[in-house]
Amino acid sequence: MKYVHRAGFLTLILLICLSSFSAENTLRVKGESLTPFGTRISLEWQVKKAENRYSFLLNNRERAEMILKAGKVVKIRRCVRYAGKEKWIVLTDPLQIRLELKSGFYPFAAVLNFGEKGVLETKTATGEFRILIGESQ
Amino acid sequence: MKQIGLFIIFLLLTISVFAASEVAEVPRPWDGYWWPYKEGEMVNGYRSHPSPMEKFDARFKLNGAAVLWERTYHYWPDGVIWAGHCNGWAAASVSENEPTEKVNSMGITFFVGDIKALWTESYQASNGTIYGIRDGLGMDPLVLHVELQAYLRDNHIPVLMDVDGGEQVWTYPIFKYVMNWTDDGNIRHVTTVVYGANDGVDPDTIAENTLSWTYTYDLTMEDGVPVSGEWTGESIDKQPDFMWYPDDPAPANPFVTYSRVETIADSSYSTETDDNFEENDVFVDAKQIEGPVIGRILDDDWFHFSLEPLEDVELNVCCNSDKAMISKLYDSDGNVLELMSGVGTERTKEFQPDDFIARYLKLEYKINNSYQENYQVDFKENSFVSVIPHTVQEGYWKNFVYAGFWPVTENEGVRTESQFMPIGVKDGESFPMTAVPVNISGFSFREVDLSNGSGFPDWIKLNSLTDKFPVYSFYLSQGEGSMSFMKGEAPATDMVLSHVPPQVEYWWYGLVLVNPNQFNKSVVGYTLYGTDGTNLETGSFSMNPYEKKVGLFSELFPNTNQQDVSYIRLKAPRGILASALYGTLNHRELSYVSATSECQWFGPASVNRPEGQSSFFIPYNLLAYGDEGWNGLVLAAPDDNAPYSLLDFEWKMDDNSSITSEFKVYKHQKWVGVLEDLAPAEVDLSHLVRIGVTVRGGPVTGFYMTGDHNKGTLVSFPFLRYFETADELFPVIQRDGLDTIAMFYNQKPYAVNELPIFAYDVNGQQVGDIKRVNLNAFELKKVNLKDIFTAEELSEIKSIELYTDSFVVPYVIYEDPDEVYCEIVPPTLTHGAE
Repeated sequence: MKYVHRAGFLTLILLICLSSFSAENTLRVKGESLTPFGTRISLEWQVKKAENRYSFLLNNRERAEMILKAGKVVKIRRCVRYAGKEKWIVLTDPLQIRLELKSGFYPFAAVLNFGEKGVLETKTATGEFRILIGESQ
Repeated sequence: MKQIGLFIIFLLLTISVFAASEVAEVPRPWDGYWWPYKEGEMVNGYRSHPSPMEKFDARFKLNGAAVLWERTYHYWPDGVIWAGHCNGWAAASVSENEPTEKVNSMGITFFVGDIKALWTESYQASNGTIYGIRDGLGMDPLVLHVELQAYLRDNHIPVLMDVDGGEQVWTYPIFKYVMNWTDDGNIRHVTTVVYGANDGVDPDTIAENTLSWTYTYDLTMEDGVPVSGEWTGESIDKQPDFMWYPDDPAPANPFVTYSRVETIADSSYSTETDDNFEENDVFVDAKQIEGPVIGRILDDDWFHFSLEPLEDVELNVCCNSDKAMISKLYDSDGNVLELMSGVGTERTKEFQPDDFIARYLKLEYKINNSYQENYQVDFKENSFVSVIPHTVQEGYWKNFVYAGFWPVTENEGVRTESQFMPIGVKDGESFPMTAVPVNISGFSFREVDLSNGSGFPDWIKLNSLTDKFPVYSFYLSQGEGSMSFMKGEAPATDMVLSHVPPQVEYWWYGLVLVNPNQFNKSVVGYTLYGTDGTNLETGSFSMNPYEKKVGLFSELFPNTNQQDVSYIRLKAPRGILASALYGTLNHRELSYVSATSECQWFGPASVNRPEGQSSFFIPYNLLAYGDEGWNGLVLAAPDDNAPYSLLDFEWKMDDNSSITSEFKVYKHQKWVGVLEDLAPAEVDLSHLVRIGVTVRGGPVTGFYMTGDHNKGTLVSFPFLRYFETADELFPVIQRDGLDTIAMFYNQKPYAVNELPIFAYDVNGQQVGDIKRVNLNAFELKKVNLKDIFTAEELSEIKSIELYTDSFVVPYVIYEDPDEVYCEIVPPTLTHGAE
């Protein structure tokens, strides 16, 4: 009986988590990412979901986009600065996408883990992320 | 023949099937320079002065803030040889267009190298997606292979790569690769040559000096797709560490913002015929040098400056190119004294005046209206200055100052003599306080006569060509009677006044600030922190050369309630002096507590804090009041980056037992209170000897205070570093009924015998015999000089030297028999047994 209660409780939490994303269509993610100097930087991301498209905002500016098809990431776009102008990098190659998900500056993997399994904390090669549910800003 | 032909066809077919190559190339990022920290050329100049950062500072009127930051954090003359700005350069070179022409902006000419330096700094803290980890262990060749293709082939942009697989980091922008491979079953043998821009060229050069690195590896293929990789050949030992691409500009130096650098980079170059920012074209319009001054000689430029006796000052005039700029020195009557000489772009003149002198400097170029570049005029002070930032002669205050000297061990033996010139400063003007310099010798203290100059000074300094002196300024209030003192401290650029007291009815709290630099203005930034660590107010004071500011908290910070403030942080581009003043309205209690700079905080080592400063101790019951007195502590956690200061306390009792406790002070917060509120319940304060503190996380600063309200005493005492032996010299005060009492506090659980007391006269000659003191375990002993020297000897004694065995704290109490006045002078712990 005890285990039944625990399972029910976990399911409830998962449902609350998942519904919090789908209800508001936005999510806050706290990230600790490794920098090229070996230090760590804290960033707070805002992630907006529209159907199968997730956009990643930092300081209210859209910095990246992740598109899913049948539950799989099929495209990642990232905004960088190149030769004095803004440029969007587009990744569609599955291998390139896999490495992008493993990297740890953008919370791509964290959002996927949360969306699929309700996982609140995700560690990648160069970052640690926490989905902020009910935490004040 | 036919067979040979078939073999060739077979061979060609084999090659066409199993060998292939791939080339990708994108527009080339710009070559530049990695600005090594060891050289610090961003501040020290790559084409003399003014340097890129000095010109940037001048352009945006930052009062030296950008230069100071860069010099503090990116100039490591003793650091590792490979540390520098390669990552900032690499990030800037892919993100921004190459500066190809010099520009001028608001009268400042920026060369290509200057602009590249500023772009580099504005990207020095850039982050972004990283592939691999900076761990010095190399990276997966599959990641190298895939990301080269992702960036260069598929997205047509370069990627950054740390080509050094070891501890060092050498970042380059990779703009081209050539991959050749042969397939052997499901194994692909790959040789990849990557090409990068060069960060080792002259900063002003528009070069295309490409570097290349060759890597070999095997990829395991599944269905034509690589799934894993393994380094081969020399690449097993020599491979890149990680790859990345910057997401956004991010300066390490907070003053070098993107928008400011963009403003410069977007400027153009135009020749002008009048330096319309400069109105010092003739002798009578000579401008006082408040350096470093950056200007242009489109017409003659005149400057003036004054120097004091026993100053050793170097006047430097530099320019960015070796065109023949002429620098002439004049006296105040307009007579030419000399042409400044020098090599290449630099002219130097060293001054060591015997008296106050005024000089004029004229800068000219052989053809008027043609020299478009910048010069810089600056002073370098080589002399030693000891400063007391507050002297008073108001109402019932008495103020007297003592300066001391120790024999100095030099190469050729021990020097027993020195000389200083006491200088008074009033309303920003300096004047001599004696007709000739003061000679001082042996172990001695001399009184500095504050009333001997032209008027009573606002503050004083002692100039010397050879030494910095311990200086103590004592203050007596003849109202209800109180005493305090201030010790001359070194000017600092970042400091904390760790305790702003709440506004209790009879207490007042004030501040003294002094800009001790005669050639530079200073903008002193302040932050007032609230009791919960919040930032209540930030602002700044502009301070002219030699300016002093003194006032009550409410006068200096009228917009913030003192009640809400916990502590104050001060930052200035050049060293300033600051002290807090605590007092009661009836003048019964008074204390000065100097600000502590980062190098004085206790905690883990940092850029500005040496190793071995992570623990300290606080001797308890210093005035020997026992249960009669009160004992308090201030602990502040001032570091902007550490979330808290974590302190381990060891409460050492007089039976040699210890009780431990842990304490945390959160970032930008402070704890203040009496020890009863801090000590664990089992600590009996009447048996406490000391509090040992080990700082395990985040630095801490503060002070210990003790006193007795009934007696009207209040003294503060700094946290002490642990020490072995100590050899301390203190002034002996014999005026206003004061006795000098030598104190020895044995911190050891066993007796110490025969600790010597030496006494010296005004010439540093020993007076009387050596007196010796015996101490029991943990004993605190008061030795009144009256009790150990004769009246005749006492009349000659000007200083005492206390030599202590390891871990016996020496200090001095000055008090009158009625205990109206009482002050405590701590040891400096700067001398060992000598």
